[in-house]
Amino acid sequence: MSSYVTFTVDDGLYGVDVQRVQEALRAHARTRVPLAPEGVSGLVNLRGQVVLTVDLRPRLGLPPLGEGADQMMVVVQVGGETVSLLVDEIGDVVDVEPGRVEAPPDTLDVLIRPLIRSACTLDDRLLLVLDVDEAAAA
Amino acid sequence: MEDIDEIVREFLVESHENLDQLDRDLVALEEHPGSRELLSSVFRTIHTIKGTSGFLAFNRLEQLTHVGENLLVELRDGRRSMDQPTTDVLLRMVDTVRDLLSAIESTGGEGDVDVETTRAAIVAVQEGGAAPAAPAPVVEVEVEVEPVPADDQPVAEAAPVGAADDRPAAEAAPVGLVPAPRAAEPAAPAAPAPAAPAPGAPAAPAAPRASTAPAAALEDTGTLRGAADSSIRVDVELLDSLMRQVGELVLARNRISRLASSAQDVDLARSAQQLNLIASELQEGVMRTRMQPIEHVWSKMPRVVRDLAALCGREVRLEMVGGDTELDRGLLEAVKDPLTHLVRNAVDHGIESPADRVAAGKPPVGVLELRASHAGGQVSVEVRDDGRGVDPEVVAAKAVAKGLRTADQVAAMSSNELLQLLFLPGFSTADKVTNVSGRGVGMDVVRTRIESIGGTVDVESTVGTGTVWRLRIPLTLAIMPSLSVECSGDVYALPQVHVVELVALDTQRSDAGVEYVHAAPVYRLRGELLPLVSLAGVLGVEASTPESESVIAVVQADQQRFGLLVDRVLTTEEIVVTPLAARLKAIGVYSGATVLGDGRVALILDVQAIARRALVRDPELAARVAAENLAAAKVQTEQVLVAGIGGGRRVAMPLASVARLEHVRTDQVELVGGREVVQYRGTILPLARLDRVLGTYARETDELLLVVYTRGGRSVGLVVEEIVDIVEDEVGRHSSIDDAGLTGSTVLGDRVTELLDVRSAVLAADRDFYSGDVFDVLDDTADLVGATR
Repeated sequence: MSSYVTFTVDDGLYGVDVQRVQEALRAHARTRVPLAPEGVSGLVNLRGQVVLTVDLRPRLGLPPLGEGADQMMVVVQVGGETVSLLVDEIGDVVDVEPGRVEAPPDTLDVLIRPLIRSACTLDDRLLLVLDVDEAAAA
Repeated sequence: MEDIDEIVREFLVESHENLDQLDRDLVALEEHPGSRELLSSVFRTIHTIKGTSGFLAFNRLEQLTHVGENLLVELRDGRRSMDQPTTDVLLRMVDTVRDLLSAIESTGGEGDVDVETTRAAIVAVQEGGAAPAAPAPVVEVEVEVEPVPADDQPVAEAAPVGAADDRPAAEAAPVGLVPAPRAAEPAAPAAPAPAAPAPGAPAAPAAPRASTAPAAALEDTGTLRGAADSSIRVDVELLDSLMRQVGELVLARNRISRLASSAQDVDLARSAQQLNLIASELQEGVMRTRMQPIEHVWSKMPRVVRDLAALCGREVRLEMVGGDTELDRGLLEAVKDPLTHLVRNAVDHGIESPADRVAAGKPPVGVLELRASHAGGQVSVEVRDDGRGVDPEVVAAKAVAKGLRTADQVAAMSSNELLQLLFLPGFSTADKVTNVSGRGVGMDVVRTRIESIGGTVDVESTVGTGTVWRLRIPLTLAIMPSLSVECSGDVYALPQVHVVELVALDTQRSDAGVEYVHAAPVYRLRGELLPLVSLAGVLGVEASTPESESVIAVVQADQQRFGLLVDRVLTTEEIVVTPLAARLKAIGVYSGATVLGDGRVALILDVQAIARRALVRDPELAARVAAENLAAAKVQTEQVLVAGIGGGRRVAMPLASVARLEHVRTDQVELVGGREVVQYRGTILPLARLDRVLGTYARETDELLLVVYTRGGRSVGLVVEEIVDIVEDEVGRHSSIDDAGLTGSTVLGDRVTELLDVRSAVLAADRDFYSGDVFDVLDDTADLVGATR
């Protein structure tokens, strides 16, 4: 049985391993980093700690959200570093039985493929499990 | 098993420390061969290593230290005196011990380190000199300090050195009163004193202690070691994480203070105040735990200098001042190599051979001085030698020969600028590559290293008298003063250490705005062209402020000085540096990030990287700027003070002759013989109202603004309505007008400005101002108004 923290980006439902998630919270004001690679959305002050924020939208080939849109942050640990992933909405923590975990579908865009570790068929929809390290690498 | 590893580790750590001390002691011992404290200290160190290595079954280490100890016993017992071969062989032993220790550290065993040759060398020296070569000098023949025969002494007792060192001092006090007949001492000599010392014995150590200065200096090293006994070892990582946490506490404190000052709650304010105080003290305390005296790095220098001086045939006396100056241990580690390089360089290239020195009328022994001190939140470390100095001409020739600069460029440089060329990569003044320096590890590496920790390095040299290398190092890396600047709505932190000055670009008031040299923007700052770099341009963000309203932060990076154009300068604050994620560091413009007092995150700008990025793009810009500067110097400019005199008229007067600006109240003005004067600093200051002199009318106010001219003992005050600006005035652009009290006009900041005939204005106030030096009158006129007529 694996547990995933789920969230939505655009219309898709995504999940990351619950073990890797430190917290989920409303997006803070970000300091932009000029010249940073695409996907780095800025730096946030998380209780005195400077944390890199990665926007999953460009990573998933999605158009950026408009200015002032309310977003959420999923704070994850990546190789000793704290990184926050910018998502649209936070969902539940779901438990998935091993039998429901499958390889990502072949129809997935090649650009997105390395990001997706597996696909889980939930009762009503498909959950794509993100490879946290890949996703956070922006 | 783990326990044993732990013991070995402890042993290694302790021994490495002891060996550093040993190096220092041995070199010092060579200079003061009679010092009992040093000998005892050396002896104890070796003995401790010997004892522990026997216990841990490191046999070769034990054998080696054993023969070394034998040699030391002879020295200690006065059966032989300290000479160069002895020191050499002992230092060699230290090196071998070090090799053994590192072998143990890396492999757990003694490896195949060659002990035998060193052992043989020690034995050879011992046997060769066993018969006392010369009757030992009086000072050396002193009585045994250690009452217990050393061989029987357990390791545990050998360890607390401080206590052992204190003992003779304590004894010295009462015994010092008893005159100790020096002549009696040789009688005691070879007595190994295995039993309790003879009653008169303690008097002997008392003698050198009480009398000579070197003894006092040596005592210091003794107490230093003693101090180590009252301390504990703490894992550096623990300290680092403490430091980080305190950094965060400081940030939280900053936010609370901000909240408390905006709320009207007295209790909250009081608590915030207290938190403020505690956090500051805690921060200081934690910072202190990471501080170590620079002595830790210097302790290796006597050995370095000694070995190198012997190798290069120099005679060098090393003086170290301010060894107790503390700085962050991380920084200490970072300055170690650059400092060693500078010291080696000074011995090798700075100080001349004894023959050359004598020929130059200097004492044969060169002096190399290391000097450390705290200055303005920084540590300044100087490496000063009294050698031949660096000849700027030679440097210039070299730079041209190596193609680093053109002949025209060096011709335009001052001798100080020429010396700075020493820091260029690929520059080495050594005529031939020696074993010591000139191996490509040049001053550029020194500079890079020092600048990478936010420090600066500088050189000053006078041919024939010596060279000073000056390092300026921040006290700590974690917290640094910085300037917050704004660019396109974002706040960035600019490390203060790079900021030279701030200049407000205001094209409304002076005509010295941004100019273009082949499309590259430059700014004329006090007659010098300063290349400008727009921060928004570097960061690739849209500029939100027109260039004309920007602020120029004049920054210095490497050798380059340039102006960084920013939108606004906000404030200076102490920031806690947080490292950046690797992929952001790779951008190469930011050196870190920080949380500002208001909770915002600000990126810290890496000024050096920006300089490289923005200025290297146009490598010829620097050359052009230099050439322009040369040309600019030919255009005669002078600074003039522009003042409004009423009626919308402005006059300019040469700033050079203005002594002061003063405000006086109108009711202080008195009349003397029909002329206005004020009492000013105990004298009478005659006034001339420029509006009346030049035929206009100023507003009546209760306060007068005076431009005070002073010459010799006399002063006059010229009354003006307002001070407008101080600007550069190009003499060549003057047009002449012929009007009473004026010498011409010019355009300053888009306004026609009259040039005041200061002489006639001054005479209007004080008819006798120029009398008494009739011959100078013509010159003065030229002085005061610039070469306009």
